[in-house]
Amino acid sequence: MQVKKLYSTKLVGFLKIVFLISFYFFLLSPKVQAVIEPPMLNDPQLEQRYRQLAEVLRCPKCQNQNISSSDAPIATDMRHKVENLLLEGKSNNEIESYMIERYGDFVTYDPPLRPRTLVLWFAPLLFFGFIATCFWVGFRGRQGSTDE
Amino acid sequence: MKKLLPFTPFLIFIALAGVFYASIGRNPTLNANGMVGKMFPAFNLPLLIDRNEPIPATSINLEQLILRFQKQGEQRPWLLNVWASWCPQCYHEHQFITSLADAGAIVVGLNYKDETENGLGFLNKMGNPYDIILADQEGALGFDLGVSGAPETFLIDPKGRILVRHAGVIDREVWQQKFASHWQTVTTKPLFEEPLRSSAL
Repeated sequence: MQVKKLYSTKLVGFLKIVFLISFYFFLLSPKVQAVIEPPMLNDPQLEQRYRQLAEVLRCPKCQNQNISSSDAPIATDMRHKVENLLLEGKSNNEIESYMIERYGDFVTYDPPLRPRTLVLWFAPLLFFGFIATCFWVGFRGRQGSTDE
Repeated sequence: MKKLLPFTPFLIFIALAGVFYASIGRNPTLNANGMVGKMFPAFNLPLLIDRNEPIPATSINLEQLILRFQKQGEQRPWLLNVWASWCPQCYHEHQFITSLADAGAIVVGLNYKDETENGLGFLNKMGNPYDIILADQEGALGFDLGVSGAPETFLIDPKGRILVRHAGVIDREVWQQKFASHWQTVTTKPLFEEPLRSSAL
């Protein structure tokens, strides 16, 4: 039996275009967030690392912003500090732990793995395992019922 | 197990709702206690005002500050209060800071990212409970302490180790909850003799 068409092909084509356009804007959004120009460090490698750090460090006074997109005074201070520490030759790890030492784990969007953050890191895995078990149990159950 | 299966989305919903409900009203930024348990960071800052000397020394560092308190006699912890004339809550909390000083606590002021003139204006208007006030115009010491704004208050033991950090306004309730127990491990004597009455705030 042929399934009755619910929507015209025209409408489906239109929806596809709308979806693609919104998806494109979705991809664009993180770049729109970065509003504050990075400083001139006269070294493309340092500037690259600066951008990485400013992206991953979180403004401690904001709800949910990294320091590259926040205008808060503390974010400005942190950007200056990152700049200075980079020029002093500190590694990315050293700079991140410098910030964590002062502002706690809250300050990074890349939380370190330690006893307190175990749940954070492994909860998705547990959740995935749980869902997989559910599917498996459900599947087996259905197989069983067809045998009856 | 099979009978429970249809309810799993509902159970997951309940669990998540519980987690979210428990987080309502909690401010994660105030819980960033990176510096607690560590030594007070080194600094060398000019003074805004020194209560004991009419013409204050031009600057002071950590060793000199700790020596100053040791000279004043018994080993006592001290408080560091981060304030600024541009901070509205600092006016609000100033009365409690004054009562801490009146009760006998050493309170060091950290005038954070403020202009000298405005800082002195604040003190003229509100009174000066501080033993000594460091002028941190750039916010350099503030940064090393993990200060993200004013007001904030730290409790430091006589050797210079940070025991408590509180971001935000401090009052009797906060003192009782966060500071009092630490205060008594260092001095054995409570700062406030009479117990806190919940209506006294």
